[in-house]
Amino acid sequence: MALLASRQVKAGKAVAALGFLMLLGGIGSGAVLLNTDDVGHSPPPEDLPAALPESVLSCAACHLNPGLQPSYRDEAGRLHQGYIDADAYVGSIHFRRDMRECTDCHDGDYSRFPHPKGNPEPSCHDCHENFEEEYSDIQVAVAASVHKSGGAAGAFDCATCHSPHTMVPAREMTVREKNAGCVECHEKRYNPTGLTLEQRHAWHPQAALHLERVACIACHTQPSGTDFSFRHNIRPSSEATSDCYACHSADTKMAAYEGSFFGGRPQVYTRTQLVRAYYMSGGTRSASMDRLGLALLLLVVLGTATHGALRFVLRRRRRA
Amino acid sequence: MNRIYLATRSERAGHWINAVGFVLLVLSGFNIHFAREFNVFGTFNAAVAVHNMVGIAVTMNYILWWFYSVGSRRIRFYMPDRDDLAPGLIRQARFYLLGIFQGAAHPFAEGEARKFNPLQKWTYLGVMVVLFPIQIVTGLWLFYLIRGWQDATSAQLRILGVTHNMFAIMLTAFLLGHIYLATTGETPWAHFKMMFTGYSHAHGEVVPVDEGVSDEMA
Ligand code: HEC
Ligand code: HEC
Ligand code: HEC
Ligand code: HEC
Ligand code: HEC
Ligand code: HEC
Ligand code: HEC
Repeated sequence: MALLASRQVKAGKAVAALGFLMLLGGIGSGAVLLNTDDVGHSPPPEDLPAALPESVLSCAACHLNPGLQPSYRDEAGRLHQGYIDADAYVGSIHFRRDMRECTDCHDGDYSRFPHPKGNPEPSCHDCHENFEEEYSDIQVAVAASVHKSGGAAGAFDCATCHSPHTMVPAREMTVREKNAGCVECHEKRYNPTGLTLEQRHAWHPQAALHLERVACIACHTQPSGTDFSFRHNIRPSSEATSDCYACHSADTKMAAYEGSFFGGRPQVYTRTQLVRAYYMSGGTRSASMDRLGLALLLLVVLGTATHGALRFVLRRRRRA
Repeated sequence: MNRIYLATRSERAGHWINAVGFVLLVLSGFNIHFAREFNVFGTFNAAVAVHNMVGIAVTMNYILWWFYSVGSRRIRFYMPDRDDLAPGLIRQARFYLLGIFQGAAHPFAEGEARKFNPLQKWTYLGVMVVLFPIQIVTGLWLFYLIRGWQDATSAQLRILGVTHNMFAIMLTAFLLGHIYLATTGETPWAHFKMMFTGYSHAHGEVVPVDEGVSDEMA
């Protein structure tokens, strides 16, 4: 599918690089690198986090190796990223909840390369649908979103935005992390206009600031209902927030992004951020006060103008 | 026609520094507050930079004004006397509402002992003693908090911000009224000229303070 096309090149490159590595290994050290069917012999990259369990090291040479980013595309056009950032993996909620081994989620035969076909492909819902209803709410919201209603629907599922390998609850994500997926895809992979996001948000006098420091979903979703799943319902851009008052006012929309499924507060907007890192004029702006103030100024202008006009007219008449 | 030396050189310099600063603060303040609708400085950050720098300059100018006015005892011109409260104010207001259209003389002539009419005294006093200090304190405080020099809650910021906005509106209203009333001199430019040369050409004859013209109209 055209949407994810540029990455196909990458997959090709990865395989080529892999071949080159095998060759080098074979000639250079005499040790057999991936020449056999046993992947366990390939040396893992250095500086891996110490927390990684033994069993992961056998996969690390390829999947945790930043120089080798195996990726491929399935029939539906979805991009599968085979590279896992080791630190993010160790920091992920799944690792912290004791799902540390690749085989905790992937059952199948990965001991050889190329991996045999037909290993079962796990998905978030294998585990989550059964134990929390929030996930099915999220699934409903994603299904209603703009991404699932257009031609690219097949290319979208949870893993398009979330890697299970690096997933953390929203309250632990920085704004940059929340936006990274959107930006990466909309600036590069899927960008029919060829314009940067900043250009496409040129209507906003502070576009760069908001793209960098405000979550995309804060404008591109609209709060509704009592749960938090609305944040997954990305609306068409005609329904995106462009009214500054929606956020920069006492009853800010941003408040709807504070809560979380898992308690705590996601980082879209926190009090400390509000005061330390930024000062949102919104906190101090009240639409009714603005109207009152402007009305007062208008009154002064009108009053003085009338007075002046009267003076002018009457003075002439007196002189005449 | 007698010429009266009304505004000293320091007063005039202070006045015009303040005037330019004031206008810049209003414009940049509106730019910050209505970042989208009123973007006169081009970028938000430019408006903030101008606002901060000019704000500090105007604050220093304001402090100098106190030293000068108290030191030279010219602060006395601002002090209302007993006549200035109700009766004087009413006479001046009646002049602006009626007399001025009928070509009546100004009820309070300028002179050695009088620089301001009662309305001026009260508004200038209000501006210099109430509005300006509140605006300066909330402005500097906001500056301090936003720089991150002190921890604060958004509730504090909101109170400060809203107060700063409210008084900014009042000061802007004052500025507009002030500029307009400055055209009500002998000629529309008379007061402006005075603020440059320092000299006023007193209106007609000097009318004793206690028997204003407007009383005849009552
Ligand atoms: C020699 C490098 C290499 C090693 C070592 C390796 N893989 Fe892979 N793996 C790949 C490549 C390349 C792909 C891309 C898809 C393909 O070509 O099959 C892949 C794809 C996968 C996939 C997704 C496709 C599928 O079949 O489900 C999983 C899951 C996977 N690897 C798991 C593992 C695990 C677990 C280990 C460790 C036990 C491991 N791999 C070791 C190179 C490797
Ligand atoms: C918490 C469960 C979990 C763990 C632990 C886990 N994976 Fe996965 N992995 C998944 C899921 C779910 C998918 C399918 C994502 C999707 O639908 O694209 C996946 C997909 C993959 C893919 C294919 C890329 C893709 O985006 O589909 C590779 C390669 C992979 N995993 C390798 C690994 C390796 C190597 C490890 C161990 C270091 C590992 N996984 C540990 C759940 C896990
Ligand atoms: C192999 C099963 C499995 C798969 C696949 C899986 N998860 Fe999980 N996930 C878990 C388990 C088990 C927990 C821990 C639940 C707990 O402690 O209550 C968890 C926890 C989480 C949490 C933290 C919840 C909390 O209570 O703080 C999030 C968020 C999460 N998963 C998201 C995902 C997403 C998104 C995907 C797909 C990209 C996914 N998971 C795939 C099993 C899985
Ligand atoms: C994998 C690539 C990809 C990712 C990641 C992605 N999008 Fe999209 N987005 C698309 C595609 C493709 C469309 C066009 C949908 C269609 O019409 O088929 C789209 C459409 C949209 C639209 C509607 C544009 C319009 O013209 O109405 C918005 C808004 C949007 N995305 C915002 C986001 C946000 C916000 C995120 C992150 C939370 C995000 N996207 C993540 C690919 C992506
Ligand atoms: C278009 C990109 C996108 C897609 C597709 C997507 N998500 Fe999300 N997801 C996000 C963003 C952005 C956040 C951060 C939300 C926030 O700030 O509250 C998030 C947060 C989450 C969270 C954490 C919620 C919390 O309050 O901590 C879970 C769980 C989750 N997603 C699950 C899913 C599941 C399950 C799917 C598939 C049905 C899915 N997501 C599909 C973008 C996406
Ligand atoms: C301040 C609110 C706001 C933020 C923050 C924001 N957007 Fe938008 N975005 C809009 C609005 C409003 C439009 C519709 C503009 C139009 O119709 O011209 C839009 C349009 C878009 C479009 C469609 C552009 C087109 O050409 O039709 C995409 C894609 C998009 N945004 C993605 C993003 C991404 C990705 C982020 C985060 C990095 C983001 N937006 C952040 C308000 C916002
Ligand atoms: C989705 C909510 C949202 C919308 C809509 C929004 N903003 Fe913001 N804006 C924010 C947040 C959050 C910040 C603080 C960002 C930071 O500094 O980290 C901010 C910061 C700013 C700043 C920097 C100064 C400050 O107060 O922190 C300006 C100026 C600004 N916004 C102007 C606008 C204008 C003009 C519009 C309308 C075109 C607008 N914003 C719409 C959320 C929003």
